Amino acid sequence: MTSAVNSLSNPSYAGGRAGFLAWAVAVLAAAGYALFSLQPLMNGYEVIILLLAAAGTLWLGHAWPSFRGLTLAVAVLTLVGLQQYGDQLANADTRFLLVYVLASQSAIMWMSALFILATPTYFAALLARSPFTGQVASGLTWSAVAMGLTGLLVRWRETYLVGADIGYIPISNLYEVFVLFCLITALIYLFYERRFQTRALGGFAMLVISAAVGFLLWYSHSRGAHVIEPLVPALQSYWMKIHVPANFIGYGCFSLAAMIGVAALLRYRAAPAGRLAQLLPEPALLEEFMYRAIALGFAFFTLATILGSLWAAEAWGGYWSWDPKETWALIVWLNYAAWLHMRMTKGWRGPAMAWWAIVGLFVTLFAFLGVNMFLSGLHSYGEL
Amino acid sequence: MSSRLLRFLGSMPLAVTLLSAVAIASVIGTLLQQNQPYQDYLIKFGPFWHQVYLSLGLYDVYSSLWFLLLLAFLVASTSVCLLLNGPAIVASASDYREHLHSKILAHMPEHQQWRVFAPLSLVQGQLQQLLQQYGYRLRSRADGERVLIAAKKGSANRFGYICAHLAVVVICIGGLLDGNIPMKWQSLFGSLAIETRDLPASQVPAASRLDTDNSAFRANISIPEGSAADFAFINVGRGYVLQELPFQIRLKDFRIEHYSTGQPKSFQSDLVLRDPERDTTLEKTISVNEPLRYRGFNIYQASFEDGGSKLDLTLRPLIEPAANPEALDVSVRVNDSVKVTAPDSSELKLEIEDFRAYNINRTAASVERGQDFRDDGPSFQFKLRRVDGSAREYRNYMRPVTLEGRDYLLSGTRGSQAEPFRYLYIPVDAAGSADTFFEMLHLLHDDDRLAQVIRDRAGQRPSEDERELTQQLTGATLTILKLFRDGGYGAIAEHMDTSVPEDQRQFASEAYIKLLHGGLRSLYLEVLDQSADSGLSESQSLFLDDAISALAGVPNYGAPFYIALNDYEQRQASGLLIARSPGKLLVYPGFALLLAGIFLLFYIAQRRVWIELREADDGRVQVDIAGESNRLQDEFRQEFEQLASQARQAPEQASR
Repeated sequence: MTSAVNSLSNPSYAGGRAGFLAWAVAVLAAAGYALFSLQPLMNGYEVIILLLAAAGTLWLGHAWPSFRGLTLAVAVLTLVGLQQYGDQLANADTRFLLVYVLASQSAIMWMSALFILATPTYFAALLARSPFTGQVASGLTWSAVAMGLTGLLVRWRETYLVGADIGYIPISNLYEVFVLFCLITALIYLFYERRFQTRALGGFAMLVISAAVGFLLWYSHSRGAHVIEPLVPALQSYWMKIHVPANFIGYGCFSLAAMIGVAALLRYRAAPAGRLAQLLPEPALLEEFMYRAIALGFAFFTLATILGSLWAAEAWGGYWSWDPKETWALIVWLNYAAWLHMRMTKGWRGPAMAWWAIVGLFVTLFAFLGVNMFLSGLHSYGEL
Repeated sequence: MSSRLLRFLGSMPLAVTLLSAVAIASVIGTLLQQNQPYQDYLIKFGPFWHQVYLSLGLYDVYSSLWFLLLLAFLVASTSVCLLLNGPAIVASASDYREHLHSKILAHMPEHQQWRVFAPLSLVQGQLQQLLQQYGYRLRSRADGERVLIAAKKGSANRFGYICAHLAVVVICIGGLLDGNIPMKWQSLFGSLAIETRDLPASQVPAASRLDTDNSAFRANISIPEGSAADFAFINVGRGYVLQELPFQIRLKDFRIEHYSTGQPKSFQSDLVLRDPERDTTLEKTISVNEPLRYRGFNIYQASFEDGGSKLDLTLRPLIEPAANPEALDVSVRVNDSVKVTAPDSSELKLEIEDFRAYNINRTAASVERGQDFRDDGPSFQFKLRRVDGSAREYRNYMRPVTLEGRDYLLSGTRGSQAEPFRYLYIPVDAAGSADTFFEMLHLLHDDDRLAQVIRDRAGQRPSEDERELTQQLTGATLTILKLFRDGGYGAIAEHMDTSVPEDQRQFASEAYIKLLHGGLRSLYLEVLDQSADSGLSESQSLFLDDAISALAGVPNYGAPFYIALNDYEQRQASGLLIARSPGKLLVYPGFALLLAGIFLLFYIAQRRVWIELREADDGRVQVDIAGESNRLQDEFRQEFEQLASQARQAPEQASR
C-alpha cells in the first residue's frame, strides 16, 4: 500500500506513526489541560471553539508533518515565555529572555526580521538555483512563523497580566491582525511549497508578507500600536475567536494568489527557452496554484463573512446592515465568485486571470484597510 | 419564446452582469455616505445634483426600488440557472456511464493497459473488491466478450453546485423578506404616512403607526431610567413611523462600567418586559453582544444618552455687572429649557441639550503620569437662544481642568454644529475658585470704580511735577481698558487704525499694550488687595496672564453669562434596538447550504474509473483501466497510479 505514494504526502514521513501518535497525545493533553485549568474563563461556545481548534490542529498535523514540528517549537517557546513572566508584567523589562526574545513585542520583531531576511534568500535561491539556499529560506520562514505565533500566544497572557478583566485574544486590533496576516499567509505558502514541490515562488509570497511587516513596523513605531488596550464592549465576544482567523485565511490566500499572479505574468512573458522560463515553474502549475489559493480563500472568506453576519445579528441587531465593511466583504466575495466561475465553467486561463487575481488583491486590501481609513461605519475598530 | 426567455434569464452573461451591477451599486452605497440629513447633501452637491441623486435613490441605495429589483432579478436568474441545469447535473451525477464505448477509454486523462493470465471472472471479482476498498461505488455490465466495470465516487461534488446556487436564492429571499418592501409598498400606494414632525409618541397620527402585526422591522427607542415604552420608531428617509409593540419595556437602570484604565468596559440595561397578552413579566439585563430574545423579537443594547438629568446651575453675569451684579440660580432638566433675563435685560432661552458625567480623554499629561486616560469630570451642553431665534451652542465643564499645571474652567462655544468648539479658559485662583477672575471682570465693567482704581494706583507713584502726565496716562489707560473690555484686542487695533497715523502705529501699539497690561495688573492687585510695590508671585503673574487672555475672549464669547454647574442628579436613557426578522429562518439555513456547497465544490472531486476486461486472442485477459476527475487532478493521478499498480498485482496474488 505504501509503494507508489509520494513520500511527502505520507503521514508517516516524519517520526513515523509512533511520532504522530506521541504528538497527537501531547496536543490532546494540552487541550485537556486548557479545558480544565481555564474553565472559569470560558463559556460553552469557547469550550467548543477550543475543541474544534484541537481537532483542526490534529488534522493539520496529520496531513502536514512539518506543522507538528512548528507546534512543538511554539509550545516550548511559549511555555518558557510564560514561565519567565510569572504573574508580573514588569518582568518584560528586566528578564533577559523576555527583553530580547520572548516578550510579545520582541518575538514579533524577530518574526519581522526573519520574514524580511527570507525574502532575498528565496530570490537568491531562485536565481542561483541553489537548493541549499532554498532550504535556508524555508527555514527562515518557518522560524519567522514560530516567533510570530509565540509572540501572539505570549501576548495573550500579557493581556491578562495587564488586568484580569482586560485579557482578550490578541487578534482584536489592527496591529495584532497584521501579525496574524503574516503568519497565516506564510503558513499557507509553506503548505503549497510542499504540495507543489517548488521553492521558486517563495520570494514572491514573501514580498507581500514583507510589505505587511513594513506596515507593522511603521504602525508600531510611529503610532505605538503595540500597546495593549482593553477591548471596547462590541468586541467582547467569542465570535472574535472564529470570525477573525477565518477572515485572515481568506485574506492570506487572496494575497498569495495575487503574488503567484505576478510570477505567472512574468512566466507568460518569458521567452520559451529563456532563463526566466527555466527558473519559474510551468504556467499550468502556476495556474493551479493560483486556483487552489483562491478556492481555499473563497471558502474561508465565505465562512468568515457568514460568521461575521451571525455575530452582527447578535451585537448590532441585524445579520446584514449594509455597513461599509459588510458591503466591501460582499464586493470581495462577488469578485472571487466571478473569478472562480470563469475558471470552472468557462475554462479561462492565462494572463487575464493572473491580472484579475492581482486586481483582486487591491479590492481585498481596500476591504481590509481602506474601509477603516476612508469610510465610517460600525467596524470602526481598526482606525489608523 | 418562453424557453428563449428562460435561457436568457439563466445565462452566464446575465448572471455576471447582475453580479457586477450589485457590486457597483454596493460601492456607490459605501462611497456616498448613506441616510445623512438632506441639508448636508444639498451643501455638498448643490441643488441640481442633489435633486438628481435624490431621484436616483443614491442616498439610500440599499432600500431603493432599483436595487431591490436588481436583487430580485439576481434571484430569478440564479433560480432559472438552477432549474435549467439542476436536473441534468443530478442525472449525470447518478449516472455510472457503464455504456461507455471502449475507444473512449484510451482517450481518458488516465489510462493503462495490460494482460494477465487468469480467468476473467476471477479478475473481475478482485478488481471490483479493490475499487470498493478505494471507496468507489460501481456497476458492472457484461456485453458480449467484454465486461465493463464503471465506478465513481465523490458525486456529492455535483450536489455542491446545487447547494451553492440554491443557497444564494434562499439567502436573497430571506433578506428581501426582512427588508422594508411591505412598508415601502404601503407608503407608496397605501395608507402609511411618513411622519417628519418631532412629536410625542401619543400624538403620532394613526396613519403613521404600524400595528403589532408587522412581521419584519428594525426600530429604535430611547427609554429614560424609570420609564417604560410599548412602541419604537422606524427611521424612513427623512422621517419615521411608529411601530407598536405587543409588550411594554421598562428600563430600571442603565450602567456603564469602566476598566481600571478608564475606557468603557460594558453598557448594561436592566429591563423589565411585561406582556399583557401572555400575562408574563420578564426581567433581564442586556448588554452589547447579549440581547434579549422574546417571542421572535430581539432587543439590543444599541446606544445611550441623557434621559433628563437635573442640573443646578448658576448664571454669572459677564456683562453690565453694575446693573445686575447678582448671580442667578436655576435648576433645569436636560432636554428642557428655561427663560432667563440677561443683565442687559434682553430675554434668552436656555436650552439644555446634553449632560455627561464623565469626560474620559487621553492627554499627553495623563500618559506621562502613567495613566492612559484622564477623567475631566462632568460637562453639559446647552444653547442660548435669542428672541429672534438665533442661538449659540456651549459646552461647559463642572470642575476645573488642569492644563500644563494650571487650572481652568472650560467653556466651549460655537455658532453651528459644523464648527468645532472654541474654548474660553477661565483661570482658577489659588483657592480653586473663579471668583478672582469674576471680581476683575466686574471691576472692569464698573466705570466709576474702574476710574477710581486706575487713578488711585497711578497716584501712588508720581511726583508733583509729573501730575499732568499722569493724568494723561490715566485717561489713556481707561480708554484702552474700555476698548479692551468691549471688543478685546481687536477693538484696540481698530481704534489705532482710525486714530493713529500709520508711521506711529508700531510705537503706539507697544505703548497701548503696556498701558493695558499695567491697567489690568492694577485691577488684579486691587482685587488681591495688595499694593503695587509688593509685586506678584510667579503663580500670580501666570494667573494674570491667563486672566488677560480670558478677558480678551469674553467679548467674542457671545453669551451674557458664564453658566456654572453646581450639582446634578443624573438620569440616563438607554437606546434600544428592537428587531424582528423572520427571514432568518431562511437566511441561516441558506448560510449552511452555501458553506456546504462551496466545500463540496472545491474539496470533493467527482472521480470516475472504468475497467474493461476482455478475453484476448492469446488466452489472457486484457485489462483496460481509465479514469478522470473533475477537480484535484494531481491527487487523482496519484490515487489512480496506486490503484493501477495494485490492480496489476492482484491476479498474481490470487494465483499464488
